[in-house]
Amino acid sequence: MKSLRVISSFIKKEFRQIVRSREMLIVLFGLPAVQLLVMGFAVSNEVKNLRLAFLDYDRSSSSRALVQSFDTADRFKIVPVEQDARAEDLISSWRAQIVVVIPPGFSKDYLSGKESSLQLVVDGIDGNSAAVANAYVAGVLGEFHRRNLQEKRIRTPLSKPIAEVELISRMSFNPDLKSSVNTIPGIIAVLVTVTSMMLSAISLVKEKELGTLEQLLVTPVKKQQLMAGKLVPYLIITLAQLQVAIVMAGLIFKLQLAGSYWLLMLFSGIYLFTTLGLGILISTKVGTQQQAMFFSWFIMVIFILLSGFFVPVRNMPPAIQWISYFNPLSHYMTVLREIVIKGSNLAQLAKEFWILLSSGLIIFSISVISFRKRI
Amino acid sequence: MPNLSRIHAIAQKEVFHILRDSRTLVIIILMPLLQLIIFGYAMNMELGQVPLVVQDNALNGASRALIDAFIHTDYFQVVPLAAKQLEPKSIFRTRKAQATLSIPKDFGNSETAVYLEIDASDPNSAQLIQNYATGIVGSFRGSVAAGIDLRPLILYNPDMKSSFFFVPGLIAMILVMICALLTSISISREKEMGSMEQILVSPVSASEILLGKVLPYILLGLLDALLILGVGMLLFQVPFRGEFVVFLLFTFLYVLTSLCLGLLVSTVAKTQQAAMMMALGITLLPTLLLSGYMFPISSMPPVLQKLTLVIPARYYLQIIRGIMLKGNGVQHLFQAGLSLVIMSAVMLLVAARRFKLRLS
Repeated sequence: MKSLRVISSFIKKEFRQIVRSREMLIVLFGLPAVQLLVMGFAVSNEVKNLRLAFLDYDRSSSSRALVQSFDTADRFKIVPVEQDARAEDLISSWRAQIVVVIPPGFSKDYLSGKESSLQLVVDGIDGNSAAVANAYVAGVLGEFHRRNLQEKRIRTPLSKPIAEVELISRMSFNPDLKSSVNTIPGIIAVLVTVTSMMLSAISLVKEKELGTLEQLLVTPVKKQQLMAGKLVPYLIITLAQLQVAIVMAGLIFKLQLAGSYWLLMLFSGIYLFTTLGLGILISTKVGTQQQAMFFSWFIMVIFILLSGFFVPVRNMPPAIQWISYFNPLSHYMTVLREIVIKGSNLAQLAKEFWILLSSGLIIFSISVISFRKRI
Repeated sequence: MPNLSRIHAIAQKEVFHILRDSRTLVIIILMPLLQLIIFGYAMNMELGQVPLVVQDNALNGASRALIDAFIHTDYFQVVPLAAKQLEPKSIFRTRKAQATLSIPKDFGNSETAVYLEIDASDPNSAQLIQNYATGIVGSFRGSVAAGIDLRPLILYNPDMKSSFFFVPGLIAMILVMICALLTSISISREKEMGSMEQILVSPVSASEILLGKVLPYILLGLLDALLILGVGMLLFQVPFRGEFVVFLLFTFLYVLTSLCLGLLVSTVAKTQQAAMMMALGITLLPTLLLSGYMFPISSMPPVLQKLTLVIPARYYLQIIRGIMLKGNGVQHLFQAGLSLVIMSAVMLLVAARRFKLRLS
């Protein structure tokens, strides 16, 4: 009973310290909100508004129709260029990212059903955008060709009709292919990690730096009580931040939670043992707040890069996939995405459950052991 | 006129500070190298083999030929599932497959459509899967392929390697991290600990203090940047097509802009922690997210696109990618360089005003 009272007075102190400083509140709730907003809109692998230029040496009605067919979606932004420009110059001077060169005689070949070709020049410095641009152009051309075939403007060179196979595809869970559906749960996972780890990493160092840790150590407070008193408030704050993030995701990005809310909370609670434990571990190893910041930043950057936040882990080479298996954030991110987007249940996430539970137990125990009641 | 020996003394003191905190130094040097390696090897946008569940209800020659076409491309890998009648969404929830292909009973006879259901929780992969499948089905039917032959020519990075994109970007990141983040922390630390006051009452002038304080960080930043450049060129064969002099000229300009930013932060922030948070909020995160370092600016919503105009790294990224990958000369980069000059001038003016106010 007495030990509970000690812990609860500790928790009160920790909360008071946080609530009292307006800066801290802004950092804890304002900053994540802004991050969710900015990242939700900025973090996207969608490729839009590609600067596209045409060099039309054919100047026929079909080549103009072809140019027109690019003028539909927000995928391209057509930039006007003088017709004697060179494709390479347009790209080297950053005026265009893709140049479609329509050779003379294109329409003659095309309309007579002969093999006709187009040259596509792409700025390759952003490999991802280049690949997507390539696919976009191929898609528009395919559509253009299909439309023309339907209008029977082209005689097929092959006389016998070949049965066509039609592919009808449907997108599960995210029919509009909205990028935010994938990134928002990822950002939430990152925010939870950053907040809990930073808070716990700085907490003890700050007391060390200010000399208040010494005062705490001479009191009869036990090590477990001290740790609990520090960690419970951080747990509560991080979970509160998670609520704010979920509400914001629903209001601003129209992302409704497909699965069970309580399952999400269960997983988050388990996961926080890992991050809080890591934070405490960092806190016991470093001497100054600055070092704590840099150190936790260093770990988080690696966690985030190898988590599947930007690039699916499946795409990575086997050795790195193996490394990311030991990355708790990677599993938590999977859990968040599966629950939020697909509404998966505990049975479908059993593997992640055991991994996160054991990682939490192991890391937290290590941090309890390494946390000594002395300086 | 600033006195060189005084600047030297202040700089020496700062070097001691940097060297003494070896843990921070190691992280500053290791972090970019590690990022470089992760980006070079792990950030692969290409999909590996997509696990595909096939529900073949026709079981005839045509359906088998189509399935073979899917297997032969290396894009798909057919995974067996015990219960074939499972609904696609529940298959996706177990993450055993990313797509299901369902071939109707009369395929090859009266039926010509096949159905592909894709797990779109990762829209980017979903788009690629759809493209692959469309390509396979397209070449399967054969006839339409005789349409338009698209001959792509990928300039500057024909293998579309991500390291070509990230190595120049990392240099921009490191420079802003060291020049803006570290200098602002170091200045605000002196303020917090009261040692700034002691230096200010000494015969050293304000400009000498600032020069002495920033010089070691400029050096550290440039060394770190050259390290990344060297490792990137050796390990990932990232080319350097432009002229080194042009690179140095513009890099110096960018370092100057970053320093002005750090200076501005340090005049606003009262404590180290505030400086760290502010520097993180206005230097690192925007550089990471809004400069085009990872995500194309042209895909952002218009408001964010406007916001990127005040982020120095945006211009420097264009400059350094232009020089390294495209071999751009000054004439192509003049506009971006001018933006950096204007930005530094404005920030320096504001910082100088605030600095004076604090002293009075």
